[in-house]
Amino acid sequence: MEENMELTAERSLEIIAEQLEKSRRAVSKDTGQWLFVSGLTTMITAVVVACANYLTWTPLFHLLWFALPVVIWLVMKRINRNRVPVPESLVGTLVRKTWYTILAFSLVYVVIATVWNIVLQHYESPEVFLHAGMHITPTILTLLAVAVSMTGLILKKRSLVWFGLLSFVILRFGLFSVIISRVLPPTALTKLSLVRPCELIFLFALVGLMLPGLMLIRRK
Amino acid sequence: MNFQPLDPLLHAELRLAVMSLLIADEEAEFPYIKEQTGATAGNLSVQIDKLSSAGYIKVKKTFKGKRPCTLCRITAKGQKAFTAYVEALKSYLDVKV
Repeated sequence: MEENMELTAERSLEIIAEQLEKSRRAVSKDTGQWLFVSGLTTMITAVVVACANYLTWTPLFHLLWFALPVVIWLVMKRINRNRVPVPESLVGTLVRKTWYTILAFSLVYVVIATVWNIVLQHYESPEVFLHAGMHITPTILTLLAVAVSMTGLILKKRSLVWFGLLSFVILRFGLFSVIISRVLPPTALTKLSLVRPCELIFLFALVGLMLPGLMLIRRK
Repeated sequence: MNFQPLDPLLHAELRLAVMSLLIADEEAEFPYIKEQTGATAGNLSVQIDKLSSAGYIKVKKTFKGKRPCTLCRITAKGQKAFTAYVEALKSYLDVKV
């Protein structure tokens, strides 16, 4: 870009619009990388947790989920090591604050639901637990699906909005559970309770995080 | 038709591009601006100096680890000038908002 004093008004507006779009695109690509890495690491964690729980017959490995944010942060730090950082912008701030709000809600919900479920399991009958227990995974994934769609609206990427909606439908559909119950023998199904939310999380991470992330990264 | 005068400091491709970028982003590093505008480092430095001398942007030289880092941020005066420039452009385009 050279210094040009013969600028027309149209060209001036073009330059302004071009730079604003470039800024939005830089945020989109950065968001895409976060979504892709989050999706991929979540999928890997889901497989590891499912296998470990299934083989050891204990739900203890669900604790690995707490390490997930740290792993994502470390991977992103390594990826961005030699890259020019994307500056803070209004669009970027909106995306970041949307995710912070959703993640804060999720964290608070996980803590409250876990304590509530433990108390119910110890002091109430299984029937009461069945009706009054708090469902952690579907609630968290619904919140995340909303965050994906909201990100799409902020970045003006309609496909991202649809990915959020699709992942929400999928997690309510329970397709994986149906397939697994058809394929595996009844004896193995009891063991599957230990794997339970992992298949749902895996599918959500694929449709709601990894694929839209890849799409944002690859978009020219 | 009443044409408003255009700020000569902003009525140049690269300087206008830098200001547009800084209007969108609160604070940007020199390599990011260079990447987004596609300008050469030398030319960009000259234009940033001009904008800085006019008080439209604030340049801060710091270190990121061991590497030097130049940060550019638009000032209130710069924001006002940019808004006035866009308003003036409208008179040339006969845009009714």
